[in-house]
Amino acid sequence: MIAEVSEKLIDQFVDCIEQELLGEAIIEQVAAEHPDHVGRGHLSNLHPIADFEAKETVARCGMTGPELGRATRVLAALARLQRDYDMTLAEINPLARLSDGSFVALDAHMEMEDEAVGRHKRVLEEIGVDLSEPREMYEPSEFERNVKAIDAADHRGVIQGKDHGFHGNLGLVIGAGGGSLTLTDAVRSQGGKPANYAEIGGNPSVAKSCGLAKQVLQKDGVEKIAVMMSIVSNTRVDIVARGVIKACLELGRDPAETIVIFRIPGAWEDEGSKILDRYGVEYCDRSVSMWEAAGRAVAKVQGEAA
Amino acid sequence: MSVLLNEDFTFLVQGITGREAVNLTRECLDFGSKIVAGVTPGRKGREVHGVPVFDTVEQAVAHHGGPIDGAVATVPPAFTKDAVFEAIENGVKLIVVVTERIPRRDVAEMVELANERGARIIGPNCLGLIAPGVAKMGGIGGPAKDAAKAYKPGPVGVMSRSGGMTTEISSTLTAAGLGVSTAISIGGDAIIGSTYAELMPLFEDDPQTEAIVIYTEPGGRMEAELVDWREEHGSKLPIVAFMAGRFMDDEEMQGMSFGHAGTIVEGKEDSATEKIARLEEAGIPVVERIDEIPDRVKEQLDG
Repeated sequence: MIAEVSEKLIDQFVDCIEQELLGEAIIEQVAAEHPDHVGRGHLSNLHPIADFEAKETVARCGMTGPELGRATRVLAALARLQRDYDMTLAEINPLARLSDGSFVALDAHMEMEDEAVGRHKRVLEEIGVDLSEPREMYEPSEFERNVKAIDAADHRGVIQGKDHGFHGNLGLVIGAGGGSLTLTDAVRSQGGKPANYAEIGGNPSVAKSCGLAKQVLQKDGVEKIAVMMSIVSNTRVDIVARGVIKACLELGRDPAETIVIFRIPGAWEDEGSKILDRYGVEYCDRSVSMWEAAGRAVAKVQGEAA
Repeated sequence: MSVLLNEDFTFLVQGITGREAVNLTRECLDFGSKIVAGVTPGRKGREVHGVPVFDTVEQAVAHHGGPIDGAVATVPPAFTKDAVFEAIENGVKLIVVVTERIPRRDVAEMVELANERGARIIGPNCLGLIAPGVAKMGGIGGPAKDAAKAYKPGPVGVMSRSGGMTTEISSTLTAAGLGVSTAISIGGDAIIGSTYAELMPLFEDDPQTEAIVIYTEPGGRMEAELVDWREEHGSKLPIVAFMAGRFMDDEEMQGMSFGHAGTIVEGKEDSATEKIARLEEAGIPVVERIDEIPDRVKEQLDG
C-alpha cells in the first residue's frame, strides 16, 4: 500500500512543472534565519486536537489561500499521529507542493517512546517494524549484555552497566541514578580512569550485586573496584557488601586488595560495616564525602600502578 | 514553616497494599505524617499499619469526612494515569507520583488535568518530599530514624532531579549545621509535574527558606526556565547548584542516556557545559563537589 502510493507520488513529483521544493529543511536553521517561517502551536494531551489549532499554526508560518486548508489537514493528521501513537518525534521533512497545489510528504521520521511500544504492538506489526531489532546507537558489548541478563534474571532491585566509551582500569560498582553520575564525574575529575559506568538501585539481591561486581572485575585491565553510592534509604548496605565480597571470593581474589573503597552510607550500614570489617575492606560512612571517596579510590589504584 | 506540607497535612496512599507502599506507609507514619487512608481496588476492609484500605478514592474521602490534602501514587505504570486522575477528580490537591517508566503521554495528560483543576503533581519517578520535623510524603530519606538523621530543620530548600541525591545533599547540609526547610525530589523523567521554576514561588513565600540548593543533570530545559523565572520575578533568593553528569559532554557519550530517563543530551543546550554557563551567568554558582555546598550556601547567606 505504502509502496504503491509512493511510486505514484514520485511520478507525480517528477512530472510536476511548478515544482516547489525547498529541499530538506533543518528546522533549527530556519528558526534562526527566518523566524517568521516557523509557526509554533501548543497541543493539548487531554482534549481532542481541533483542526483550527493546526490552522492557526500553519497561518503563523505565513501561509494563506487554498494551501492553508491543505497544509492544515497534513499538520492536524501529523499532530494526532504524534499524540495518539506516543511519538516523541513526528516529522515530515521535506513536504513537497505539487503542481496542482496539493502537498505530499517526501520523507518522514517518527520516534515512538520505548515505554509505550507495548500498547502499539499491533500497528507496529502491521507496518512491519521489527521489535526484536536492537535500536541502540551502538552494538552492546559483552559486559553490557551480561549485566542486562543478570538484571533480568531477578525482579528485585535494578543493576545497569555500560562500558561504551569507557577505557580505564578502575572498575565502578556504583549507584544510584544521580549518585552514579556524581561519582563518575568525581573519579574522572581527580584523574581516575573508570572502566565502566554502573547503577545499583532499588535494593538488589546479593546475587545481583555479586553478578555486577563479577562482570566489572572480569573486564580487561580491571584489577580493582570501587563500591560507592549516595546515601541509601531503600537499598541495603549489608546486601551490597555481601554481594561484592562474594564476587571477589568466587573469582579467587582477596576482597581487602580488590575493593579499594566501600562508601555506601544509609540503611543497614552497621551490619554492612561489620561484614566488610571481617574481610579487611575499608568502609566509609557519610562523613566521607562522595568526592573524597572517589579521590581515595583513584589514589589507591594509581599508587598501585606507579 | 515549610512548603507544601504542614503538621495537619493529610494524605492517602494509592496502591497501599504493594510491598514498597507498605514500607513507605510505615516510614511516613513513624515520621509523624498523617496518612488517613489507602486505596487498592478490591482490597476494601483491610488495614495497612492501622490505615484503612478502600476500593476507591471516593470511599476514602467519604470515610475521612472531608477533602484529603494529598495522595502518594505507587501503582504500576499502566495504571498510574487513571489513579492520578481519580485523585485529582476527588479533590486531592497534591499528588506525589513515585512510579517509574510511565509513558510520557500519560504524564502529559496527568499534568494537564492537574493544571486545569488547580492541583499539583510532584514526580513521576521521584521519592516525594520531606519537611524535617514536620512530615514526609513518600519514601524520601527512608525509615523515620534514617530520615531524621539526614534531615534536620534549617533554612535551606532543596530540589533535586535525583531522589538519592536529595538525601545526600540534605545530609551534607545537616552535618554542616545548616539544615533543610523542605526537600523535594522532583523526579528524573523528561516530563515532570513540578519543575524548579514552578516550585520557586513556594520557597520564595516561605519565611523559613533563606537559600535554595538544586541538584541538576544534563537534559531538558528546566535549568534555563529557572534562570528565566528568576530574572522575570527579580527573585533574590540565593541558589547554589550542583551539576552531575559532566562526563556526558564527551564526544563518545553523545546521545547516550545515563541515570534517569530525562538525562539525555539531545541538543547542545542541554549539555552540562551549556547549563553550567547559563546558571553561572545568572549568578547561580555551580559547584563540582557536594561537600562544597554548605560553604557556598553560607557565603550566599552572609553575602
